[in-house]
Amino acid sequence: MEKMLVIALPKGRLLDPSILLLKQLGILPKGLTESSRRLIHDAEDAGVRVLLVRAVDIATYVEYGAADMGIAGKDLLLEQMRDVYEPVDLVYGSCKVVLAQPEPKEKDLTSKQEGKASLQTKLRVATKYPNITESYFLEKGIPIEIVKLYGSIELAPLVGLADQIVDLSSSGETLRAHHLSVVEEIVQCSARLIVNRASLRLKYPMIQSMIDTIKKAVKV
Amino acid sequence: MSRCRLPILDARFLILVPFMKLSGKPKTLIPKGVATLLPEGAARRRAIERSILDLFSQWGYQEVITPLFEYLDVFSLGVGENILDHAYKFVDRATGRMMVLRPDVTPQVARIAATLMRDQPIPMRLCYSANVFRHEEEHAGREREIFQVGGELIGLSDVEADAEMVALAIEILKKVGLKSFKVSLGQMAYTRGLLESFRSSPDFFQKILHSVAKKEAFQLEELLKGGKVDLKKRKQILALLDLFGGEEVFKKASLLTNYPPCRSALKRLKAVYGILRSSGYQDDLLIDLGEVRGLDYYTGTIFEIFADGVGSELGGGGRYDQLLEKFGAASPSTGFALHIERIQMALEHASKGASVFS
Repeated sequence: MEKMLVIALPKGRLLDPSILLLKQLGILPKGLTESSRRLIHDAEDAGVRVLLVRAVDIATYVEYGAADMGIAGKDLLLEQMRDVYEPVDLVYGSCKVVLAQPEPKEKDLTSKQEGKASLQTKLRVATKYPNITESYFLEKGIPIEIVKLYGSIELAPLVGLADQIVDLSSSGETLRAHHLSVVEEIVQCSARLIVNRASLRLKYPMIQSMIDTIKKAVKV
Repeated sequence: MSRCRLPILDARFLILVPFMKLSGKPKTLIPKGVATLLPEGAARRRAIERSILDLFSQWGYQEVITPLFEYLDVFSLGVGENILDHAYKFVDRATGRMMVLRPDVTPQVARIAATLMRDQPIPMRLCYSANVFRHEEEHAGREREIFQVGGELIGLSDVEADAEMVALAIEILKKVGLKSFKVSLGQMAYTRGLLESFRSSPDFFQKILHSVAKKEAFQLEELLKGGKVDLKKRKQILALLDLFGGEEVFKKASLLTNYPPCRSALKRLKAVYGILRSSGYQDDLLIDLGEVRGLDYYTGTIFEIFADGVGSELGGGGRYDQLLEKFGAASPSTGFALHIERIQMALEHASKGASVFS
């Protein structure tokens, strides 16, 4: 049996551009659309099997070798620090991980941030990226308490759960809608092609040529 | 037959219902990351282990048994910071000195060769079967107790010794029944030679190493640009990521630099490859000169082994010519270790046929 190449695609905002990328490569798995409920799609003539998994699980599938390659946002890769190769920046899915806090009210000119600079109490930061947050503040030498949340991070400072948040922002609209302003951009992110360390060797010519074609497709 | 008595509860009951602590949290019977093997599994494990040790013995390797724990200050002479960060340490009740549960056997064998066996004729061929301990998050086959079988060839600097390591590792895998695997060959002296000039700024150096290790071309380019590295050097480092593949890599690698240490390192790797090819191993081999794992430990030819069904390496090794002198008797050496559990996983994968779906 010829070895199949298994690619894990993330459901959610990166799925559409990822399907488009596969199409550009001539990989057309049967019935693969964003509304599809099936989790496994084969493109037999291309020798490729596509898995649909949650974005946050992509790196796990690839690190274990359950998928040979995958597409994942750099934000999640930085957060999860998995042992995988990241050979191609796919450029799409661009966004930022930012530190944000409530806009200072007019009366209250000393913002919370400045007040906290004297470290009267520990700064509390809500995020779904505890590792990125920890290393960011570690570099600044500011002790913080991290409140790990799984969604609707913007809510936390509005109800007093946290002083600041570290969250993903593409246009900044969600932040503005909640009267939050960006304190600092922590890191610029986009979708990355990731590859399992063993697969790169065991399916060598196949994966390498795929990487090369993707690099070309991305450059155009 | 003596029976192990567990306090309070019947042992059979315990397996099903871990007993509760007063806080209400269940108290587990064994810590994470360690395994218990029942008779069938134990028999299988021992059979593989014996089969590997037999082959070592046929190749002239003598088994040594090293201590499970040692003084940290002595042990740490022979390993990098990274491996010590993950080691289990405790205080010796008698002396108050720090102890370490061995996270690696090679430094122990190096110490033995440099001290207790220093008057033995070289080359020395030594092998071991041992469990090592590393604290890691339990995932992707990273256990905290790792069963290793390995060998060290001490006192030889020739390329034949490097080739012997790779050939022996391949023969072991074949003997235990693995058919589909790849050996990734690298040369640390070559790779180090290209990266050496960055060492003066340790932070920058670490960032570059990280990007090279992840083969992330774009990030690396940005990093080099940001660090104001000149164009020629930038191209050279980026090209390092493409030094991956078959024999054609040698040509690309030699065009990349005239730096004498790199050239002689490459010549050595070519010679090792030549020996392995003439022994008929070429189909199992790949070249990867962008491998930077173990940069502070290895000094020459390095290799890692990968097999279907296991997402990480089954084992690997390489030349470490500077290790023995840390224990007082300089001697060129090379060695490798294999992860028995992962070999078992690969064998299981091969016997089942791929996954449920393919």
